[in-house]
This record gives sequence, C-alpha cells and structure tokens, in this order.
Amino acid sequence: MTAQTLYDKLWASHVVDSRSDGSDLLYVDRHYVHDACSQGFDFLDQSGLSMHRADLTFGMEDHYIATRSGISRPEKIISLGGVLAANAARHRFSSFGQGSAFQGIAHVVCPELGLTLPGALVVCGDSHTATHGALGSLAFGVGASEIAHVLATQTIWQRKSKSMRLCVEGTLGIGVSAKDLILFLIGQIGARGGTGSVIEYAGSAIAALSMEARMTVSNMSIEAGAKSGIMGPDSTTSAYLASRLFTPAGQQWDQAQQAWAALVSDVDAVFDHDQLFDVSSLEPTVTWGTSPQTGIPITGCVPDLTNSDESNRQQMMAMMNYMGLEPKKPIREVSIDQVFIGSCTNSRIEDLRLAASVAKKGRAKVPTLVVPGSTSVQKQAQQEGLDQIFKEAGFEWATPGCSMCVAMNGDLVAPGKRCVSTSNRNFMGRQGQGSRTHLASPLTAAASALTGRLTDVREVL
Amino acid sequence: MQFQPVNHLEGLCYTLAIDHIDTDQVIPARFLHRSRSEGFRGLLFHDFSGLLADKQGLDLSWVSDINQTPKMLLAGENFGCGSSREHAVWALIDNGFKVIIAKSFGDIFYGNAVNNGLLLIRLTDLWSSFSESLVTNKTVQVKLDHQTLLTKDGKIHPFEIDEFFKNMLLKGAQEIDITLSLKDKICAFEIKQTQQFPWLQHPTARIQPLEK
Repeated sequence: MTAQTLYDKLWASHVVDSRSDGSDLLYVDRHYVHDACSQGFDFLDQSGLSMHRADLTFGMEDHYIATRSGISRPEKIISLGGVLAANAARHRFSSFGQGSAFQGIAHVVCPELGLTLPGALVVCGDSHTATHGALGSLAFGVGASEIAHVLATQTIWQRKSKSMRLCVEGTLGIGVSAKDLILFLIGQIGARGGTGSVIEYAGSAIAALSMEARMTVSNMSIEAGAKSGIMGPDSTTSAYLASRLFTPAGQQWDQAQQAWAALVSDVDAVFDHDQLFDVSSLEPTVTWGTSPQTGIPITGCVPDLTNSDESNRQQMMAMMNYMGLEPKKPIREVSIDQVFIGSCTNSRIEDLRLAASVAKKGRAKVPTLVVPGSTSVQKQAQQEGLDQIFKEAGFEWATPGCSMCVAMNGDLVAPGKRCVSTSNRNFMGRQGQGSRTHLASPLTAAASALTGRLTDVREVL
Repeated sequence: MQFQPVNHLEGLCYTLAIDHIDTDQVIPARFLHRSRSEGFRGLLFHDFSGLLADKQGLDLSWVSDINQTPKMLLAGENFGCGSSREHAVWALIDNGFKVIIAKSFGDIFYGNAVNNGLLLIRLTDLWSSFSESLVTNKTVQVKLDHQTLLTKDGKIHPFEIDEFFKNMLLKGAQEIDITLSLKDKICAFEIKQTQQFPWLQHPTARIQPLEK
C-alpha cells in the first residue's frame, strides 16, 4: 500500500461514495451551526426536507450574541439568536445560546466539550472551522447551500485538495507565541499560498505547542487560503481531551487511543508541497496592512516601496492609505486607539493568562476589550483572578462571543480608528466600516494597550 | 436549490485589477442577516466601491446596474478569500453577475459559487492578454462547453475548469437530489462507523443530559 498523508487517511475514512468525475461524498461526523447560518435552514425548509442526524448537529449562538451591556443591537440582530433556538427546538438538536452553561464561540466551545475528536470530519458555516484541525480532525467551513445539504444528508460532496506540509522547527523565544508563528507562516507562503491545499502542520515547534496554541495556528489556515489546517493527534491532544464532557469513556477511550495513534502521515508519505521553517529567531509579529499576509516583526517597518513593481506598488499604497501609514514607518511608532483581545483565534484560557501577565504591569492607555471565548474560559479566568487583573488595568471584561472580531453584534471599531486585535482578519472594514486592524498576539495586544502604541512585549516582560 | 444551467453567455466584463478582494469587501458583515429572498441588490461591494471611488477616482456605477445583465467581472489573485459567507455569491448574482474571471479564487467561495450557478474562471498565464482584449470592447462571449472566452478583437481565450464543477454548472442543479438517492450507502456507512468508531456516531455526554 502506498504511503498516506494524514489528510489521505482522514479523507479515506469518510468516503461514502465516489463518482467518475473525481468527487467523493464524505460523511460529516460533526456539524456545528451558529446564529448566522439561518439561510441554510431556510433552504432545508424550502426543499421540504428534514434533518438526517440532529444528534450530530450542535448549535452555538456566537456571531450576533451580545458580549457587553449597553451596546445597542438592532431588533433584527437580537432576533437571530432566537431563530437558531427555534430551529434547534423544531429539528431537535442541542443548541447553546445566551446564558447557557456553554455560551461561547463554536470553535472554542466544541473542542472544550470534546465534541471535536481526532479522526472526525467537522463542518460549520464559518471559515474558521479550520480551528478543529488542531485536534486531528478534518474540518472546514461551508456555505449555506452546503449547510442545507449536510443538514439533510449528513454528507458533503468534495474534490480532494492538494496536500501541503509546513514543517516548523525550533523553539519560540520569550514573548513569542503561536499567533506570531502563524502570522509568520502566512507571511511566508502568502494569503493564497495554501489555496487549493489542506495544510498539515508538523515539526518540533508545533509538537511543543499546547492544544490551545495549536488551535490558534490551525484557526488561521484559511488566512493562508487553505480550507483546513490539520495536526496529527499526540499525547497533548489526548491529555486535553481526557476529561471532556463528550469524550468517549472507559473501553471506548482505550479504543479511541489506538485509533488516534494511527492518525499520522506515514514516514514516506509524499506531499504536493513540503516546506521547512525555523522559528528560533522569530520575533513578535504584527500585521501592518489589510491582508493577513502583511505580518512584520514588531521591530520592523512598513515596507519600502522603492523597488516594487508598479502593480504591487499600487496595491501596497492602497493598503497604506487605508491604514493611514506610509512606507518605511517603524511599526512601533504607530499610535493606536483601542485593543481587542478575543475571537476564535485567541480567546482561550492560555491566551487570557498571557494577556493578564502583561496587564498586571500597568494600566491601559486606550480602551481595551477582553472577550473570553466560552463560559468555561470565563469562569476559569475568574477563578484564577484574571478578570480582576484586567479590571485593575482598566481593561473591560465581557461575556463570551465573537464580538469585535466580526463586528456583527454592535461591538465596533469606529471609522478611521486603529485597533490592535488578537483576531484573525484585518480586511478593510472587518471590525466596522472604516476600521483599521493590526493583528497581533495576546501578549502584544496587552502590551500595546499599556502604551497606546504598537509595542514590543519584550520591553514590558 | 436549483439554478439555471450555465453554458453560453454574452455580456460586458468589468475589471477590478486588484488582488485579494475578500468576501468582506464583496458584502460587509452587517448585511448578512438578510434572507435569500430579501436579496442583496445594491449591496454588492457596498463599502469597497465607495473606497475605490473616493481614493482612486474609479467609476463603479456598473456594480449595481442590473439593466446590463449578464455582467462579468475580471479580478486579480485570490478573489473571494476570507469568510465562508455564501452571501458574497448571492450579492454578485443579485446584481447581475454571471461570470467571475480571476487569477485565483478562495476555495470556499469557489464551492459556494458553483452551488448557485455562478461561473468562476481561472486565468493564469492568459490573464494579461485577456485583460488587454477588454480595453477597446468589454463584450465577452463565454462558452462553458468549449471552455473558451471570445473577445471582440476576435481572440479566443481558452480556460481550464474542473470536470466536476463544469458538469454541475451545465446541469444546473445542486447535488442534494443525487445524494438523497444514496441514502442506503449513507446508512451503511453509519453502521460501519458505529462499529469502528462508535464515539463519532454517538456522542454521549458523560454526565446528566444536556439542556436544550
């Protein structure tokens, strides 16, 4: 038998049927739906179809949910959580909304609950579904038509992507975290470097990451263009999953350990693209532009366009104009208006511990919002006193949801304002019309909050 | 959802020679609460076109002019990158676009487009010559079955397309009916999965039943 990649194995174990045109019908083990998926249910209803496996479907109210009091949300927006709840009641699937013990972001809560497991195929109507790949599952975002198809059949037609391995070696330095690592990788391969591929992350630097940190990396695979970013499960994965609510117990747990041990790329497996990186000298990384591929070291400068070709120069200038920056400006000299710490990229307990370790060294100079990714993260943080540290530093402590990452719940960055954000996208208008976003790690974001400018956290630590 | 089969089309092709036009530019998040039946007319490139008009002096009145349908769009690298919102495809369709031509597309956007009968054409080496052909006359004739784009200067620009997607567009139907006819195979898979990986088929809470 020919050597297989992890992706090959995950794919092969989900094929229900194959067609001569090269497409495969894949079985979906977990379908997460959220409050911005209502059109998928509309399509199901319009087709007169019912759900095939409500017991493999889990609802999470996250995109539109209010995360702090006093923010006005239009009636229509407020009603959308109710639409999800009504669909859940009608189709009889579990769904977690405002005030639930499991309120939070799907990509934070579902791994926490042990719903996402190694070897599973996971889909959700959200491109950051790639997050779940960190646990050794094949996970990708889908659109509304595909949501309806999965609701009705628990399957999805797919063409197999190419395989890409990013082998990351070395030890991360002080003040450098998984977020810096993934921003660096996206900068290296480009925002479309992974398009048409599924990325497998490997190497000693990945193996050394905690489960939370690995999710940060997989989460941003889509920002490099890849639908999925997978990692082979190991002892870190099993330790993370061991006591989760939906993790298999007893004999099934032992069986699962055996099954998960096989979820590795064979030693002689061949990838369509295979690239090696060393991150030993990586510095804290922030983006300067409106594409996630614009990461630069915090000690660096906005690019010099002197030697750029005309087309590239124009596009770079357009980004600089939007961002209110000029070529060669040292990024550490850029003043900011606010900070957001949260999102499915960086709202897990470890992220908040990192942010708090910096927050306790000073006081916020700009408005800073901290939004935990789930109720369990929120409670854990409160038990550890992190919320107190944030409050004493003048940071606002909110309740779980997507919040200012996607700016659909009324938490907006105002036009022209500059936000250092631990989220995943710096697209024009992403955090509100006219907003300017610098993507950064929780450490960098917290350090920048204390100084009011983009800051090298190593000055503070 | 059914859509009209796509094969031969003629229309004007407009150019946005910009890379990485993400789905937030195609349709900002604040419009995503709209249902498919409410539609997205006048919302395509809502904030983006304003930025291009203000900063670069471009006239983008064609974006929401639906009298010109069918329209086509030529863009740069990685068109439709970012979010999985199918609204991006709907916004293009609702404003009269039938064909998008680009150097490359976001993967999720690509799948969403096919599911709605929006033809996406990748041009790599031929992108520049096609773009030049549009300078004097924007009219383009698309033949999906022949995989060609014909411009008014008489040039034929061939393109590659995946057979799977080509067939879907030519047939004009999503796969759901086919899939429903495979129910026996799906059920057989579930039985096999239950034997091999019961934890995947039957997620069971370790403690008391979940609140609904």
